[in-house]
Amino acid sequence: MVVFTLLGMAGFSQNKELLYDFVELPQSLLLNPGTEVRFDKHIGIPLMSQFHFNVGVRGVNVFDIFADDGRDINVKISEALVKLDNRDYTTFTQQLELLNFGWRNEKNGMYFSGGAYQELDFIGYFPKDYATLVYFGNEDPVGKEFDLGDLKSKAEVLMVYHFGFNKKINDRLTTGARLKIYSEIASYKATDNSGVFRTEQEEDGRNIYKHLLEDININVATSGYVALKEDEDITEKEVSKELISRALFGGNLGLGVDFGLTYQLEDNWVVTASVTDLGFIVHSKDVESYQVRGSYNFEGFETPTKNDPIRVLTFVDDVRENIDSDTTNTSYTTLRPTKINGSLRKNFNKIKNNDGCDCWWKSDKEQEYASAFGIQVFSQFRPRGPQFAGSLFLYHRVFRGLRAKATFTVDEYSFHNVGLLLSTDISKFNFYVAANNLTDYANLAKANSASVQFGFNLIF
Amino acid sequence: MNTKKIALISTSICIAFLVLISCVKDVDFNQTKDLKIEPVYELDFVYSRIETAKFTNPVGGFMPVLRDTLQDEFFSGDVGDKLLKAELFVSLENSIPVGFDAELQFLDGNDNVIPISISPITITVPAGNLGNEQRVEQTYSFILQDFELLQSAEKLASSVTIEGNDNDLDGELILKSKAIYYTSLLDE
Repeated sequence: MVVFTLLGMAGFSQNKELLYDFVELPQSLLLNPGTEVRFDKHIGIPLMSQFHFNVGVRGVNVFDIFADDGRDINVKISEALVKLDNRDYTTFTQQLELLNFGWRNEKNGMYFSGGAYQELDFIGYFPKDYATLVYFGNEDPVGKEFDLGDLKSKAEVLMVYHFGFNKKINDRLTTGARLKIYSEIASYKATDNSGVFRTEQEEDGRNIYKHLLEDININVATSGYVALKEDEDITEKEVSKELISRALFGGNLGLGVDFGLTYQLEDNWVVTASVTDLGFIVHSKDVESYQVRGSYNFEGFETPTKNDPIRVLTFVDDVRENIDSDTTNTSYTTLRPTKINGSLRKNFNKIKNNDGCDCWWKSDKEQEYASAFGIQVFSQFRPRGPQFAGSLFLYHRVFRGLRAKATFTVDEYSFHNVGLLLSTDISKFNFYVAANNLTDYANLAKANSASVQFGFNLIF
Repeated sequence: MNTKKIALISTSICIAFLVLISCVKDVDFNQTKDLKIEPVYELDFVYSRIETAKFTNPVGGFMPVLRDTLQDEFFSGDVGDKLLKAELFVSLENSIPVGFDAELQFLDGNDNVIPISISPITITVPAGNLGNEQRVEQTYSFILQDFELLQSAEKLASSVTIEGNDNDLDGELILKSKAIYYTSLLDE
């Protein structure tokens, strides 16, 4: 458990810095509904239009623990435990687009798009004090305060159905918005926990130590879990049927919006901004929550006190009386992990179109420049507050059917994240692939994170 | 060669390059077999503060032994399975001008003494004075077989025996103790 926890310290799994503002791809509409749209119609190849996967390591990596260097693995784990803190985290995100389509309404020029994708999102902060207590125990050093609030994690599997519009308001401004309905399959959250465990040395106390559990408030809420757990006779087929039903609006539902804009400044500078997944999910079906609350001090058992042939200890009852544990089915609401993106782009390298335009985008007026550079920022709201990342990027249209974007991303943890996106068009058929942390691919064991997105579209 | 073919070939080369260079090397995952998670936990055990007045018989007169028995499942569950070793640290501090013997014993449900290797746990402290306390500390180590025997422990019998027959002396006898559990949380 400790090793697994250590190896999960990941980077920003929902930051798609390569796809953001890559206006030739319809998937950029999911990151900024107000992006420039240079096509009249698109349809993603069903189930293959976007696969996104990210897993990573922050603070330590596989190599730090498993390097074949002759050092004792237990020493390496001890070092890692000391190095990590409770703001380090694991994130894992996987998305699979089932459907993605869009078309331009010639009457009003608006571009409508919609679709559905499945998402799995997990964040777990490193529970440093729990790990320390489990790995080292409570005796070194005595007096250390173990923060039970270190237990912070959240996971959800859901389907997202979305529909949005994009409109070029004038020559400078393009805006867009998207409505999302979340149909949740299962989730849990353990984000509102507090309390401490401490062992104090007592020189003048009743015993050698005093063990204190102070103001414990541990909460774990689940939805979509109990029905599957409790029915032991449920078959695999029935489980599949139940999960599909939940994916098709049969489970807990939520609502969210995306909105964004693109604004042309002077001298080919372009600014963009978007907010995505501003929404919530109401958990009212198949909910089971567990709570543990209270305080308790323990100094051992007092004996002998008086001549007494037998005295039944009430230790367990005392604990139960002071530390109350409860299971409830109360509804609760969770916020989606809202993302904010922004960019400042400078277009340059004007395209010299002297061979006639048979390219798929609308006109060279809209793909006027072959190259661009700029900066992007990303932020995502998480249980311990927002996370931030910044990227420098370089875009280049190599030629009509091949465009590329390279990014150099810096976030709280990684300072050498180089990414590359390639997008190929052969007639109406588009294929793109994006990957970051390329410098670590030579030995993934040393990678702090790795992210891949790829997909196929038909773009008209 | 037209641009479509170039685009296709370029992208394919990039993907192939990524796949070919990506690898995991210079690591040895077999090290997990050497993994040990062996935390040490120290927990208070028994304590007491005794004045000589406690050696007064409730029906009158002096009694030389203070005896008390606690009933509980001290070693319930599979705690013993996770133990590498365990120790019991006992401290007696005496400011009373007579000596004392303290004894601890684990009993089963029928009040039979469980014959663990360190049973009976006895400790003797000499006479002390206020301002010149005598302190004796003793650590007892359990052996592996003790953990199995202790699964049947249901009672803890404790007694303190006073030397002499005076129950009106100044001072205090302070008993403190802790158990030290050396655990192994991974199955062999």
